[in-house]
Amino acid sequence: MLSSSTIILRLLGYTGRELEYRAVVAALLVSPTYALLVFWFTFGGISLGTAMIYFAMVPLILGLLVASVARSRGYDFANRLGLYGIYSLLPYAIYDWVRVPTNYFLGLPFWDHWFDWGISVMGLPVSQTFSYTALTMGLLTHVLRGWSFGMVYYTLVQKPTLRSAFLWVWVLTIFYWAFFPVYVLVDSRPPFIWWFVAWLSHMAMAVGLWLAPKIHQRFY
Amino acid sequence: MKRNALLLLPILILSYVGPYAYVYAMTEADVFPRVERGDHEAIGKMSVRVDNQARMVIGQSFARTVGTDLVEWTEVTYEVLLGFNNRIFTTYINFPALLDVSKITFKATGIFNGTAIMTCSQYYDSLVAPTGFEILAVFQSILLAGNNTFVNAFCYGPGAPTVDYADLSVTYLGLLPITLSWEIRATVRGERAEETRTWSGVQSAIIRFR
Repeated sequence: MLSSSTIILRLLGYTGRELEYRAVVAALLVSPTYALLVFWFTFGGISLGTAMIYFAMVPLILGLLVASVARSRGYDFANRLGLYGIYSLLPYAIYDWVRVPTNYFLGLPFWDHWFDWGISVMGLPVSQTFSYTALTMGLLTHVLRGWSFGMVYYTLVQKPTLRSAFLWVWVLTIFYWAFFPVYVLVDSRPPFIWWFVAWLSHMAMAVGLWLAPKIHQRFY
Repeated sequence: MKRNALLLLPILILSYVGPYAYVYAMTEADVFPRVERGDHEAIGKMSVRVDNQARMVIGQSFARTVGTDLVEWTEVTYEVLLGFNNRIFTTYINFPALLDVSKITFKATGIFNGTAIMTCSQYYDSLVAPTGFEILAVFQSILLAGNNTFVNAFCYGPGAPTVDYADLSVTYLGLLPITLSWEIRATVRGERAEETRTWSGVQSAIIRFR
């Protein structure tokens, strides 16, 4: 006699403990965001560089270990992690593309906080905030987070669809709306356009999540 | 790999790097110049102040044997307060920050009746500034405390018999009028731009005896 949850999982196409493995791997792959949360919640007490090692790199390694166990148990998603990694390069790039015209025409900055992340990663003095070193390091943390969101999506779903992609980016949008005004745009009240651009860029990311596998299928 | 798929490659690569190329280009063309303009404006608004009171801290007697002669003299140490004002400025993202002031040199001469009775030459490495890694409340308290920063400078001059303070104190009721000629040089840095600034002045001041 199968339990109702097992029946639902079977209907969704998951077999055995596949979903559990997928969930654990996804929870570990999203770790660059844990690092950022630790940095925020400690108000910078734990630098982003330190947080990236202990709360991002270590979970990412664990994620790969769990994935290798899943692979040995015959769960196919673990064989495709490399492919997911390539797919995941596109969605966050599209997310950032949407912000380019809004910056150019409306002057909305979208990389100002990358400088702060960069000096925290590098342990640079505040006087070095506006440097290319800080910008580059901040950009890399941003990219790593965006990439990990893609990885989480592809790891969790059996087949990328627009519906599931939008569902996932709505989660990300709500996360973004909830945390950025508190921890990044400190003491300021973002105007409507800020909320709108945040939403729009995430929605574009959903299109990227859906589109990336289709584009890559053309290569094989 | 399908042949027509190869055409997708350059598009994909452009898609991947395009936004970040834009970020670097705009940072160079717009962000940094804007930050530097704001910095220069803030550095221009910062001012310094030398207190018009020098306080006598200590008078010391010294003696040394030169050959067979015993040479005695006295030396007086003074304290002058220096102020660095309006250090708070608004950053590129409209967040308050403190101008970083470092490599500070202070030179001054106090003249009484045409005679230099004290000279000052002091160096400070830097003024207190937040590191940026404090929690917000601590950051803000350092910010407010540092807007007008005061430091003590020590000056030295001859004591009796060259300058007999016991006598002068009676004549001038404990407040000796002097002319203070001073110069402060410091490196001031905002978020990105840095300037070496020099301030100088000649002002009436008084020496307050203990």
